Amino acid sequence: MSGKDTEIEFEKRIREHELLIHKVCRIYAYTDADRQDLFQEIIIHLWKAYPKYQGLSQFSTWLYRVAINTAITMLRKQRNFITTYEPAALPSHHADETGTEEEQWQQLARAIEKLNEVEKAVVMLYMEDRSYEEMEEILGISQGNLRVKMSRIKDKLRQLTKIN
Amino acid sequence: MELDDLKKAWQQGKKQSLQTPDIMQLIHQKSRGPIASLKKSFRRQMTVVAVLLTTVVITNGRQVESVPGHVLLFTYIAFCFAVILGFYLNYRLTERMEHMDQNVKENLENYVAQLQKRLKWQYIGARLVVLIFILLLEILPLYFHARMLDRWHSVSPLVRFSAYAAYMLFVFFISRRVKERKFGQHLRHLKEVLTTIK
Repeated sequence: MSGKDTEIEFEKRIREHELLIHKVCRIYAYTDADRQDLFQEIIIHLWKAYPKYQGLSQFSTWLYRVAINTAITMLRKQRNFITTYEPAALPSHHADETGTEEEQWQQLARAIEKLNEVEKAVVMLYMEDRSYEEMEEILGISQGNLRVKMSRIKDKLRQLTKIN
Repeated sequence: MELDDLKKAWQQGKKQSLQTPDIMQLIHQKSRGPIASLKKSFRRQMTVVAVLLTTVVITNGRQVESVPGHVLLFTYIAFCFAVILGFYLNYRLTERMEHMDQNVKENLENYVAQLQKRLKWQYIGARLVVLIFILLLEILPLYFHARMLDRWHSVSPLVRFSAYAAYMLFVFFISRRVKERKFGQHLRHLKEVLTTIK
């Protein structure tokens, strides 16, 4: 396959999965500029790794790996670091839990921002309805461990959305 | 509110503003991440040593008459080539770090280990370049006669060595600061992430 053909094939596959990349950017970056930068970095890394992709795993699994790895290892500016969850440091105000789906969504998004990088990846894959088997393939964390993590994350999010 | 209640909305992605840039254009862009920065630093070090080597060969190659002069020149050339090769190997290893298709845990473990190693070599390289430069200034005038070098050698050894020491100290602190600013916080953060994975 010529270089041009590879480029066309790559673009087609990325277009089919672009929503996944946007979701990774959405969960790991907090400003539009950062999201654009991250999107660009992910595409560059996907392109560099593409010649090595042999179809041993699903394309989306491979894409998640590269995208999450890029997001975690990309150098962030100090101002855009979001502090991770520290229960003791959070105010103990309890907001009303009822609200529209949009409000709940916003509340959840704010809570997810407070999770650490690994927890964000786990939540994202869970929301995408990926099986624990595939999550293990992407993250390298055993299924048992993932189930424990997921249960803890749910508790954390429940607490965080109450506090928010 | 439960996470599962919002799964559907998440999967549809309707809350997200989608503006996908031109993919074909993006793949030809240069990365601006930490690996790219490290690669750039190795490229710069290779260039500096190559320029120093070329300058010495062009300006002094024809003036070598004595046997010790020849030995010194060829030793210097071999040394510079070895240093360039060292930088090149580090550059290639850094390049390999760009292939992030392992699972997240494995990738992060390798990434942190490699980044620490490459940073150490880059740190050593920065000092090596300064050392080559000082050796050039001190040893070459014994065999070759370039006006600038002769003038520098007419300055008292105390002043010369104090200047070298001050320069070394300056480079030592500057490179440490740059390393800390560019990679220190980044590395600490990645190690924290790695701990949470384990």
